[in-house]
Amino acid sequence: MMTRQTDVLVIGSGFGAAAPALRLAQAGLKVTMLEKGPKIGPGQYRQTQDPKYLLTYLKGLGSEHLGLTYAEALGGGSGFYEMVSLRAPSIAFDQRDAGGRRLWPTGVTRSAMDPWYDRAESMLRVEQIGENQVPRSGQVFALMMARLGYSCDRARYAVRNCLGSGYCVTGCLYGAKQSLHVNYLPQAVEAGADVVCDMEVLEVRALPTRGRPARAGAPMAPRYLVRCRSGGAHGKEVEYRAAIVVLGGGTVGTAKLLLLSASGLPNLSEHVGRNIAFNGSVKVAGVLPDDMPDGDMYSGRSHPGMISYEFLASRGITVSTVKPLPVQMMAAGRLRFSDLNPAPSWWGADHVAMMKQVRQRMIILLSLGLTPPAGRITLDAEGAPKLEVDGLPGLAEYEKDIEALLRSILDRNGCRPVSVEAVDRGGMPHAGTYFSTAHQTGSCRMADSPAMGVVDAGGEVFGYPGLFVSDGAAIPSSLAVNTSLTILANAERIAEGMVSRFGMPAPGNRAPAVVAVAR
Amino acid sequence: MSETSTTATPQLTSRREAIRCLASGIAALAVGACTPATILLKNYPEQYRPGTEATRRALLAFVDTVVPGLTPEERRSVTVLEDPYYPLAKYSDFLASDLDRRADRHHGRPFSALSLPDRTDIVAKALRGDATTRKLYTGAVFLTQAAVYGGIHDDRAGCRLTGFPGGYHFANPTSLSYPDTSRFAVRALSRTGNPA
Repeated sequence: MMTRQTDVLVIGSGFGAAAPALRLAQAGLKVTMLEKGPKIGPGQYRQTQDPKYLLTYLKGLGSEHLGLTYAEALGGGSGFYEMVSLRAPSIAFDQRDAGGRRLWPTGVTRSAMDPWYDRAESMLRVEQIGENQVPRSGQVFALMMARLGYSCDRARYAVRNCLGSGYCVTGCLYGAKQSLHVNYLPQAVEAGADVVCDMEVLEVRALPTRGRPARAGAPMAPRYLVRCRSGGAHGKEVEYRAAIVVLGGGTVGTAKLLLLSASGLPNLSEHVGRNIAFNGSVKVAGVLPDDMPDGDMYSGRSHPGMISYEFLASRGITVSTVKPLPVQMMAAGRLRFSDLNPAPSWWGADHVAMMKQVRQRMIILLSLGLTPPAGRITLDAEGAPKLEVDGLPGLAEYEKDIEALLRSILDRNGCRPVSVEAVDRGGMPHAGTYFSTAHQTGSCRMADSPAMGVVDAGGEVFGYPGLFVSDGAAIPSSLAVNTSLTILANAERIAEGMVSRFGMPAPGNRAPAVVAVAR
Repeated sequence: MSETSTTATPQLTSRREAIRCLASGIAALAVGACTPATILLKNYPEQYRPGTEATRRALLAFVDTVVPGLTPEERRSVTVLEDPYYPLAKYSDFLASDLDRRADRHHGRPFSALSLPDRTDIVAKALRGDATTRKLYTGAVFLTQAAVYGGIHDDRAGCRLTGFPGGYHFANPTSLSYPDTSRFAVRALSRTGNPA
């Protein structure tokens, strides 16, 4: 088996991995980044609904009550997200568990995070959408909220010169989306990092060394052996030895890897795989009344441009509308009119009649909320991840309560109700409460002690010096907004801590100063 | 060495064959027309094999039943039920034979020869069938809808029925929003401020 050595091994290439790779490479360390998925970027994306393309890069982990979607490709989710880049509210950082203990570690608050949000926004060139750029469906949503006296604001996006092709979620062909392919990753390569795609990490083992890892400028002795495989299930195995290992493979990937590494990392916290938060999204749909102008589900950027914080303080949710492409809509649930008796079918002529209204007359409301970290990943006998959810009665109550609130927004605007029945990948309906999301966080959460979580506030795994988690897995709570900016900002914060401990002291090897962002 | 092999192989084959025949017979006796056994044993007419005319005709009629209103050309472009990329392809020949079997039992004609209401009735009854039948038909309906509404066979095709334009539909950016933005003015700040 081939063995390679590096100072820093970064596993993953998404929002949680890119910042440490860039900052540590800029700090003069030899950085190698391993991505399980294939190389893809603006030149290779397709504007398509073809599952053969989508399922090459987008993966899922599901159970009867929760479905998680994540990307396996160069750049992680940044290639396929909707570019929405929002700071999490203070109340997200102040959430507590049933015992009254704060979920986030001491000192990590919204105000402490703001400088890192500044840095992340600067790198992604985040700015608020202009009034004249809000897609029609977003304009209609704003009108609905205004009629009820509710507030609604233009959202913030990581994009420049958006053409509004409507295919953000299959990858931006034009390089307008500020995915990691146009900032962090090329800058990391320029700073000397190696990026290797199609390389799956199978296991991390601690090497028999003692004491803390080297200080800044000292020689980097390897502390971890990382076993990998290139080119799929029957590919070639490769070993890396590294002084610092940064896990950035996402909430599912990082939890799976640490669970698979239990024999080589025997002192891991029992919280590995637990405490998965998922922004408890609830969806309702309706057909617009005749006095409302048309929306347009298929034109303009994928996210409709507007978000309401009206119910954040009272219900812990943000509300927006969504514009799913047809296959995404089918995968999310069966739609049918719910005011007819007998209920029309979810297929055939009834369904075609409804689908004809989707593009211009359908509105779908989505809430993201501060649901507790109730998901759990374990491994089955074959080492494949399994997903479970705790606290279902409370989640069912939450879902019912929020659905009623969202439904009332549609009802009071005169919308015709459309039911949304969540389905699995074979199209079979889920029974009872079901949440689907790409906003999963927290399978290896930050905490003040190993009794509460897996890593400390600096992202370092308890009991394993030099082993870090810097991705969504470290985020300890739901955020009530899209998670990408918070994951990136937290990764920047963790990276700065690593640079201050391990970076080379030579002038010019420091990360650039934070650029102030006009707000 | 080679002598041992040549004598052992027929015995193994015949024993395996005997067990298989016995198991098939018992299964057939026990479950009759039960869907899992029918699929497992391929207990349906030879004419329904992947790609045969009978299979294709029944599946095209199925597509027209799930999404009525497609042109013949649009229907023919929906090959997803027989595409080996999807697990359902392994059962498409059974699906075709089952549609014709149900049509023959109730109407004495093949599925493709029935009216839309009669075909709809047959699919609806299958969707209320045993767990395996329900799962198979649900998957087939779901896949057909995704293929048609998403225009998955051609990135540029879209879906004429629903106005989904498919890819590469450049529009003037100013046409993506209503120009009179004041019409959609809304209080931007919530009572507790906006955290973004």
